[in-house]
Amino acid sequence: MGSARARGWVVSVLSAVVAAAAILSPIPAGEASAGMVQDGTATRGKDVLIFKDGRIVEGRVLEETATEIRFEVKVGTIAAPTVYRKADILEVQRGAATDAPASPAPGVRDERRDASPRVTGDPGAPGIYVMEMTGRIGRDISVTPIRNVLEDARQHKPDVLIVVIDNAWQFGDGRDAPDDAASFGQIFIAEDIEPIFTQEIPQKWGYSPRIIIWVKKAMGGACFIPFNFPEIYFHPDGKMGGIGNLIFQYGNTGDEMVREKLFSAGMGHARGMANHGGYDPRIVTAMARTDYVLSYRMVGGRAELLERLPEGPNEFLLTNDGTKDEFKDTIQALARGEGKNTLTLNAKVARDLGVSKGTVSNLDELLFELQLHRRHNLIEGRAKQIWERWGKDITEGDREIRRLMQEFGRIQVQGDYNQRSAARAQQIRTLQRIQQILKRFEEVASLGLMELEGVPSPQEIDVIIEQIRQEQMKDKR
Amino acid sequence: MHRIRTSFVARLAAVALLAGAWLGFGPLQAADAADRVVLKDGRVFEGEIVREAAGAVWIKVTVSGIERTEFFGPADIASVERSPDAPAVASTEAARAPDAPAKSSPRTPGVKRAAVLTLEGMVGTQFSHKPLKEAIPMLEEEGVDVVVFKINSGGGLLYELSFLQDVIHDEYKPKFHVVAWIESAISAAAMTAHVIEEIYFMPQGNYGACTGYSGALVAMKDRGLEEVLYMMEKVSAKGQHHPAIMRSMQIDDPLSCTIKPNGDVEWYNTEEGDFLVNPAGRILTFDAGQAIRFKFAKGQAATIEELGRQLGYAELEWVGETVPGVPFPVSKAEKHQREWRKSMGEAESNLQSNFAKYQISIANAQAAQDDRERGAFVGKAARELAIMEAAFKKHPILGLFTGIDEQWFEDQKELLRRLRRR
Repeated sequence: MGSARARGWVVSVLSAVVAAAAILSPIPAGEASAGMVQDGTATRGKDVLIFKDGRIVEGRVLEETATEIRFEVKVGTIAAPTVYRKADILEVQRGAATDAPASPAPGVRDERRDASPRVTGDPGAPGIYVMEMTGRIGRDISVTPIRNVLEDARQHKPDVLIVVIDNAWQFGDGRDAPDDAASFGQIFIAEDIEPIFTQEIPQKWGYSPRIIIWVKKAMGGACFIPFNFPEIYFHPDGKMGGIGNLIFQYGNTGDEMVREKLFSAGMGHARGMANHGGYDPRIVTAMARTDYVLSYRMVGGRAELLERLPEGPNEFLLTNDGTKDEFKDTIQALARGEGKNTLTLNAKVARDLGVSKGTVSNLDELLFELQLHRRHNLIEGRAKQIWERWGKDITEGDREIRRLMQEFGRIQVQGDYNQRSAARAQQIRTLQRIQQILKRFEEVASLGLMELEGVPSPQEIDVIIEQIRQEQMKDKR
Repeated sequence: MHRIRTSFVARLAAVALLAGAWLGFGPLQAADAADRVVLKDGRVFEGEIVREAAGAVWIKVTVSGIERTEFFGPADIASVERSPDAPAVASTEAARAPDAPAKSSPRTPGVKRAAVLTLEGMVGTQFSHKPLKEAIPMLEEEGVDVVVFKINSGGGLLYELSFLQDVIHDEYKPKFHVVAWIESAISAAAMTAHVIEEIYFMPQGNYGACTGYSGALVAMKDRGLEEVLYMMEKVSAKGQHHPAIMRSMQIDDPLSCTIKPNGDVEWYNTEEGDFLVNPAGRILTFDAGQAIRFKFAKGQAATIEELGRQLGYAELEWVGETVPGVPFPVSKAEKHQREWRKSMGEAESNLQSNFAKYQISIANAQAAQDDRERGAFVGKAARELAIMEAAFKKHPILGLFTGIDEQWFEDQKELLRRLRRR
């Protein structure tokens, strides 16, 4: 994955300084940490926020607008102001504190009244929640926004969850990447995402909705996600692939047998996902291994897979052995997306192979295919807003880290003792702010998908802060 | 704590309840159902209302033997019906948080008790024999009969293998019915599970890729390789698996098999069998389909309920507390595994920064010009040293990675004493 930071290296930063920083970091609405969920005991003088998902947060209302509540959360002796969206809040229970702000000013709409789940169509019909996963896998398509969207979905208790996958498949400079560009290593991102649907939903929701995957573009790591689900539909232009580089991942490093071990382990995970959704694991092997040969023929309306080249006009080649010179894809074929060294599923092939249950160009067609077109409630959740907010927050995080790094570079520790002390305090604050952002987006930063060139890791920041503190101890008036 | 029974009746009940939830009829209920919440979508939840606020209701229900608290906002609720003899619902102030752990019930006579122990992370660090050994008295205290090792690991240190295999074979097997449940067992994780006779796969499970290597993908060779191959032949015998299987997972020998008319499977490290499982030049990793088809695994289970049925017990109590986000009850022994991994992860993660802070403090103490200043830096150094020493004592394997031993800590303490005396 080419991550600048080893996976797991930034997982646990638990020194007192960092713990304090994490608590002080802004927490987006609906993401209050477990540490902030209290036992429901409303101490006299404190305010209590009851969220629509059942969580309870205790503290003090600092400020209130038409849409947000600025709230001071206390954990132990540490108080941290946090902003919550009113739309996520069921009730504000105010304590006896006299400084609690008044209700919204006259004329300001109280959004709590509009906060109930909204549905369209037939109220007694199956509820359908649609979430669209767009952007870059690992950055935009990541565990936090998925969990946040599903938390929104949970409140609506849908019967059917439609997951649209349309990930960005681009080079770093924004150009569209071809089918033969590949990133098998992103399988581990998909492995973090899959249990959110298959394990967390039943556990948190108390039931399992019917999950439908609609593939518009599922390339690279995103390609593994649909395999975990038995009901996949394709858009007419849908594509699923971009993992064909497995056997080239390690170049000529080390011994071939060890490289084979690593390919085998990777394929074990990939084949496992295919098994999970009920698909023939040979399909994912053809998508990942350039040296694998696979063809098929249709027998009684179903594809029969053949681990060899086609031997007649009714047999169709899926992949040949691209490690052999005679089968290497030509540049003409690659430019046209017609390469045969690794398999990229399109709508037709996916349908032939039984991966796709149907090809649909819009939601109405999908509902028709699902036999839900006559009677359904299309739930108007907040999936789109949550998704966009996450993308914006990461971009802002990138920008803010750059700004803070520049700010840190400009701080001069000079002047008299008080000025030097103040400058060091500012250095520490700046570093802690960077640390907070890195912690908040740890799942993205650890994959190297934030712009962190020259930015120290949270652990390194910890050491730099200690160094500054000790410099301060050495300083004399 | 709670129980999950896998009796036929319970299974039917579970199916009915789930169907009810899906189809919008049939209440989800607690054993001593008292209150009813009727939703606008037609679903009915029966149980105990544990909290109410602003028209919202928290109701404790039981689904398939699992107790959970459901939350419904006022917009979802059509009506709330209270049992006439139900105690007054606790106010928001007094009610227990809806996701607080629920305790399981005491032992039911004649019913076997099972616990899931997760083996995750790197073999040798997070996935270690030490917490497994420490868990045995906890399992005994909880009256556990069946131990399910749920494995999800990409492998790790060869060094740890024999310790793990010995704890499972010599200490767990005589006391418990031991089962491996495979989510992902790669390399040393598969070599650990291999000592267990009864292996079940999750649908996405994978198992194999056991080639030993070091550094820049350099394979074990010569005597070292022969010793590991021999070790795994012995482990295969203990786990009653044909040695040819593990051999194809370790080195690039082919593996094929023939399924005889009586259903037995004959294995070969050649390509002579009816089914080519692993071609020459490749390393074997089983997926669930292969493992079951060729009878390496006893079956496939996605959940503990499915696993309980596969294990063939008429009834099975799963020991432990309900923990949000964990799809099975967490026993004391399992809690111990989780705490071990957390503590190990923290120690690994903080080690470098603790060490760097220690060195900065020592350098400043050595350069300090007066006793007070030096004392302050020595104090800081001593604090970091104490943190590191505690981590090394709890996780001795850290010494293997760093070369730091007890003598190093003694030397550092002497250095700090000298600095204090200066």
